[in-house]
Amino acid sequence: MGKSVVQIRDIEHFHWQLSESECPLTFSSNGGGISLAAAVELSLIASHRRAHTSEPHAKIRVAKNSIWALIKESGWPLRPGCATLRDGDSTVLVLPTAHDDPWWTQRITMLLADLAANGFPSHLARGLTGAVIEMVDNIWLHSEAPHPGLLAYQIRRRKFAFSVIDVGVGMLASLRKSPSLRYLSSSMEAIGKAVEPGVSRFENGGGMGFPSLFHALTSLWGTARIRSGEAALILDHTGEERSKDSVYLPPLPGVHVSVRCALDAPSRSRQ
Amino acid sequence: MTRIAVRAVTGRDILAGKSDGMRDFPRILDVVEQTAPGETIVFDWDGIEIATASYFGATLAALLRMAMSGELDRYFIVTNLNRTCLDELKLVLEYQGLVMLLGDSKGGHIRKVQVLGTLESPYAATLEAVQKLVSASATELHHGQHGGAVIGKTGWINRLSNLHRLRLIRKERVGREYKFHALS
Repeated sequence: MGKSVVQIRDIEHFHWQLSESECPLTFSSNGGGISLAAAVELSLIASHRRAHTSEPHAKIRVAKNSIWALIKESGWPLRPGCATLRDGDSTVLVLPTAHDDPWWTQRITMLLADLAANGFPSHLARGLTGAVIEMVDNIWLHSEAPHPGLLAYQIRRRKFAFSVIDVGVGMLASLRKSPSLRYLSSSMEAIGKAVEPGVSRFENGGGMGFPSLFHALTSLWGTARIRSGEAALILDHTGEERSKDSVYLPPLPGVHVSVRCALDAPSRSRQ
Repeated sequence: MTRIAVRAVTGRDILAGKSDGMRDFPRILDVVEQTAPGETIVFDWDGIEIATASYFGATLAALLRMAMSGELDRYFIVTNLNRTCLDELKLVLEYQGLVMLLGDSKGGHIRKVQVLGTLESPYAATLEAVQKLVSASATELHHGQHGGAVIGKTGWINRLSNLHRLRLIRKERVGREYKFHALS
């Protein structure tokens, strides 16, 4: 792996190895950094392993990295109550359990101001903040998670990355609660359905969160990855043409939505 | 015409997600129901930084559906939305097949009303004709053949009735026929 930054694909590969192994495995970043999405997913894999003691343990070594250190320090997902942890351009929020928390409102206002201060025009800063709120709201509406969700983000000049993650029932189980969506039989199908406009387990409307997210990203360069259960959907807009890809993965609880976007084309803005 | 300041009713400047929408819907409905039946409500979004499609879906779109089903006799115009809010409102209206009027609110008066959402061209032309005349009956439109279309009186009745169903024009019985009025 050298000293390059560990990306989400590396974590997916490690997760496959771990799921097929009968003995404890070690993950090492080999002194290199780790991307936000990779760090968040790795933390979920680790906590999932810890919760299932019958499965082989994963030993994780990540070189000094702010986002990884913040996630570890947060104690998520077992930490009760909300928390803000910041280090430089990285922020980790252990989310409240209800949407109507004044603490949350203050954090949103902070995020909006940070985006504007880092070169995002006001309409894009608002759109991205709205998209983050939509993803977090999905946790409160659908996850049924026994533990709070987590929002992690990094803001650099004209660049923004965020991850929203929970340890709830996942998209398949949530959508299947709707009689009209009971036919869904795989995580892959569920993710594909969930991102469609107007699709929700609620009969009386809803399902506009992902359209809002995609709309916010329309004029930006970047990628969005939606991972739930045993699958992930990756939307890539780092080139002139948009592309969509999906992968099967070992099972994980909940949903992990990660986005990395920039105002400038990747050749000038590679993180 | 009654103006409702969304910022004052909700007490917030960030309105995002279905959860916020479900929280605020009863408050907004309560304020709307305090106005007289048949009233035009102008929702003023001045001071709202963020409002997302899910929020609009749980509030404005829900009110509009109530009005379209006859459950709530009111008409709606929105004004003073910033660019982000406007995009999000358009998103939900498009997906739900709804239409709503957006008004320019300069000087406290509503002017330059335009349609948000998709309205097929014959209906858009009929709406434009009513707005130009301020009020009109199917007979008047038939005789004038407004909007460049040559259709029978029944055609005009159908178009006007549908625009009224969409809550884009109001309807008043005058003698043996209905008169349709522009909202602004």
